[in-house]
Amino acid sequence: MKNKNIRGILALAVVTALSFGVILGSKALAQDTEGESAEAKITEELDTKGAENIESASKTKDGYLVSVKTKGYGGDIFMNVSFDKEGKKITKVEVTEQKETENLGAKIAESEFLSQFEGAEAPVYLPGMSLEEKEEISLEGMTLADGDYEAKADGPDNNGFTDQVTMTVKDGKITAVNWESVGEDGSKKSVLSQNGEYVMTEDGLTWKEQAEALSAALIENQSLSFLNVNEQGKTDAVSGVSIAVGGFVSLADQCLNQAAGVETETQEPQNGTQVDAVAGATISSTAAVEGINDAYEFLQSVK
Amino acid sequence: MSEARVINGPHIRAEKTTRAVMMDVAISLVPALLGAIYYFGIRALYLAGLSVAVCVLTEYIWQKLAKKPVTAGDFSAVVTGLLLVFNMPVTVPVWVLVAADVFSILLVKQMFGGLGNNFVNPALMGRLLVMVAWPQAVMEYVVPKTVSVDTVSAATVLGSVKGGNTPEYSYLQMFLGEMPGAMGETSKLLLLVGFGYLCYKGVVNAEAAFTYIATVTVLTFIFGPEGLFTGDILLNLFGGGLIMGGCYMLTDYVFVSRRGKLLYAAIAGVITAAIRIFSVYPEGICFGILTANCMAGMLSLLYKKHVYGIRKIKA
Amino acid sequence: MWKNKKSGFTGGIHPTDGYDKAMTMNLPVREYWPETVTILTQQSFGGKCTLLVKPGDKVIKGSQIGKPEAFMAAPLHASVSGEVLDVKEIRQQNRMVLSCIIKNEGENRREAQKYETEMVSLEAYSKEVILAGIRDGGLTGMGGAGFPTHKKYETDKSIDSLLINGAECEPFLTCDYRLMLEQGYGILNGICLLLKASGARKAYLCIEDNKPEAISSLRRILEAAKQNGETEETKKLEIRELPAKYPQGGERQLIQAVLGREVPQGGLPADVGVIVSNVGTAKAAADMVLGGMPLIQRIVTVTGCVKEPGNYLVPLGTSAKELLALCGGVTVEKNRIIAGGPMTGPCVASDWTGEEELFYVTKNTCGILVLPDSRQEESPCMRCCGCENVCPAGLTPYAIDFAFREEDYDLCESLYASECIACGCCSYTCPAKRELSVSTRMARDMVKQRMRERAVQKA
Repeated sequence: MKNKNIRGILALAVVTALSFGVILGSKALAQDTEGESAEAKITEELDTKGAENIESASKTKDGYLVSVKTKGYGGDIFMNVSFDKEGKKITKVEVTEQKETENLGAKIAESEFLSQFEGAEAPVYLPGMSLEEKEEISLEGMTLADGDYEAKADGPDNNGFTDQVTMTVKDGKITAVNWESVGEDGSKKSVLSQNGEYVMTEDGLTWKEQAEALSAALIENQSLSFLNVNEQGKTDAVSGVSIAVGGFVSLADQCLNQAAGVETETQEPQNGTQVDAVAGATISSTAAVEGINDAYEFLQSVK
Repeated sequence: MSEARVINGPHIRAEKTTRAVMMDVAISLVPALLGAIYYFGIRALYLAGLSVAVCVLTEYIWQKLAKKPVTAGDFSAVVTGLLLVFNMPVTVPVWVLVAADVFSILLVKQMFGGLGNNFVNPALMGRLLVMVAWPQAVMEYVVPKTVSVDTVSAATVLGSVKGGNTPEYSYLQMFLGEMPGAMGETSKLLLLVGFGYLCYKGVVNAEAAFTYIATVTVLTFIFGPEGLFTGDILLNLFGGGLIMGGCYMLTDYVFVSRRGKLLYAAIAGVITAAIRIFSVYPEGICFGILTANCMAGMLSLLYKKHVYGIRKIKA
Repeated sequence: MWKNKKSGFTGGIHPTDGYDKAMTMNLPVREYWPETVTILTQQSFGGKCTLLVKPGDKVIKGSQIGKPEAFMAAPLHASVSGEVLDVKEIRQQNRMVLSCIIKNEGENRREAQKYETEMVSLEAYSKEVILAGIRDGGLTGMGGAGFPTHKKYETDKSIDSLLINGAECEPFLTCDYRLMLEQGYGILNGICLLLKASGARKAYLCIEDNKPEAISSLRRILEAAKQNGETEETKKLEIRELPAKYPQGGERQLIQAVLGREVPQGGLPADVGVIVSNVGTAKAAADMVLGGMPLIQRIVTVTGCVKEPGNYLVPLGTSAKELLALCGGVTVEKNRIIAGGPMTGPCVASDWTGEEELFYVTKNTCGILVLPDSRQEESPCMRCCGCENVCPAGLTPYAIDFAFREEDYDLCESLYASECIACGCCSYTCPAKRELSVSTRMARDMVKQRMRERAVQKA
């Protein structure tokens, strides 16, 4: 009886040890085959000191792998971005950790969004997004040259409307702003909303009223910084404004840049690839794109 | 002539004791615990230690307070503690685990009279509590350390397949345990090693475990996601906690030793399979076994044991 | 074949790995004649006799000294020749029993008889002669409860099978084994007598497969006798090898294992046409009918924690204390002395030092066993149903235990507590060390009493 106890435990120990042998063995085998199959195999670690937002970076057999951190809507988003040997073309993007809103921002971790980066030339950008935005040229205190400025979105949005913003600067001050959205057939959103053909809510302000309120607020503030745009591209800063203001913000920003004499190349991106944002999750998408671009810039800087 | 104490026969007793049985179950869980440490890091060990300590302590304190004979040393609380921790992801907050431990031992086990009198498996009930009360605490499964060095959260394999994705892990990986899931139940190999030990010691009912697992696999195969006979047998077998549930949860002595145990196992299997096929829950083990637990007493009434010399009423 | 091995009776246990029996298995039986014997007038529970002698009387070996008084009694004989020293009440297992103390003054040696060395012809013995011999020889069951043998055979039911129980399934005991090995002729002659007395068509000598030597030696004798053809009855005799399992030797279990019949509730083996007798009884029948010597001697296994275990052929009334001293005394201080086998034998003393008298050998004393005293606390039942699986009667001991503790005797009855055979398997196997056997046995007695009371009320 005693023997059986000891034998049992010994047998258990031996079999457990064997099982771990199998587990470790299969792991080693799997790694061997994986290494050959184009999966990232690190050949050289790159120094990431001083590089903001870059967690780690390494040279791999097939190119580069950069782990990058970027600020999303719900918190930091961590991503692994793989580049080809030239460090130009993105081969793979993975989101390893994120705290974005379920079913909204969190969709950036899904392959539908991420797959569009595969094979894309860096840098990448979203429609209506300035590539140079990252450089954060402070418009505060910059003198705006008098004149009329106009900025137009690169393409129509999901509903077929193309945003455009015109701005008038006089004596270094913004005096008039007009936001219009033109449909494919040339119909203007402001007109449609007034006619009641473009209705957002039954009792709220019409699109035109909201656009005007927004413009007025911009004139009053003389800067875009008052608009705290949330993840869905909306803002609470102006009362009664419930529409998505992302397009307005980026276009108005372009106008301001023009007025300030800052060169913008957004209209003609010779290099780079345009990608689509996750619907309704502008901030998360932008953050992801910025992260990728950070990784790209870092690579350029160390090469 | 000295006054002989009344000593009742038989004067020889089997060596098997409750303590030894429970100890065997605890020993059989050690391989899976080692697996959990290997796959999910040392935190698995800390959590297991904590859970066991809390369970034993809760039982001890309760029995002291209720002035009942203290049986906290009989390893049954250890087993409950281990099973509970095996059912949680490694990211589970400590307080959730402690709450589940206390709930299982105090409310499910001791309130109903202690060992042998509980109407459902305490560890499963503890898991259910956590699933209902703090779902996010047990939904955040993480990828094993051997797959990714960083803490990467992911859905369980069954969960992600339920969500319409194709499994990211090979069957071998699932079998060996390299997949996201609860701490103890990812490595089927190590669980089966422990189960083999239990079979060798003869303290577990292998037929019932087999019936349960077979019922679930066969049913999920027949009523597959794309019509009849399209189920993924290996995925259902290795993708979730089926082995764990069948080998350790279902075979709780209180329920599996009664007459009608195979029917009991089959019913648990049918419910589990039904949940896997029709409901939003990918696993179904918890509910399947708990429901069958409640029915075990009734099922045993369906089976009349033949008593020597008593003629059957029919026939 | 495999199926045959698996079948037999339901439930049952395999208590030990055989070390217990090995202690005394290969030691030949030694005779021992004490100075005085103390013969109890109550050889078994409920078997009260009236004493026919008074102090000062001279008795000779084999002369009748007791007349049966109760239903369960058989005549009592002097086991030694000599003077009756005293007649007094003696405390025996917590009850006072009138006993007769006889000084051994006679010649003890006895020549080997013809029937002990060869098969003899039984033509001269009619059924009536044999039955009278069985009755007058004071034969009782020598394994279990000590039921008078003639009561079994004088049945008006038609008997078709006779089972001779040589299973000796109790651990530690080897007295029947040694008897079968050393007194093969005596046993086979005795079986033939019993066969004649019962009128059965077939007799089975049932031996467990852990006693291969006894089986082969008896088979050899039987084959030779069958070829010889001298004794008619040997043709009806078959030796049946049974897989070792406790309680194979239980009457009801033996019938189930060998014949596949079940004795109905409240019935006797005769109700299904069977009589079960022990091999010792068969030998005693031969002794009485063929050798003229009533049942005054038996083999007792002294084993367990004693210096020199062994089997002793002793006259009835031999003191257990003397026998233990003969074996070199007990070897453990914390001990318990058991009269009989470890599964069903009662404990007569614990922490025995060798000072006090213990008990005196009776017709159904098969062993004196010394075991280390180990007592385990009862712990809660975890419903493992081990007891249910081993119960040869098919009961649910844990449920009966709960019902009995709550004094729910109706429930006990509906759980068939009355069918308990008190084999002790449930207690043996219980991992929680619950005293299931005790409560089931008590529940049985309670239920039976209630049944009797109801019967009385009805009448």
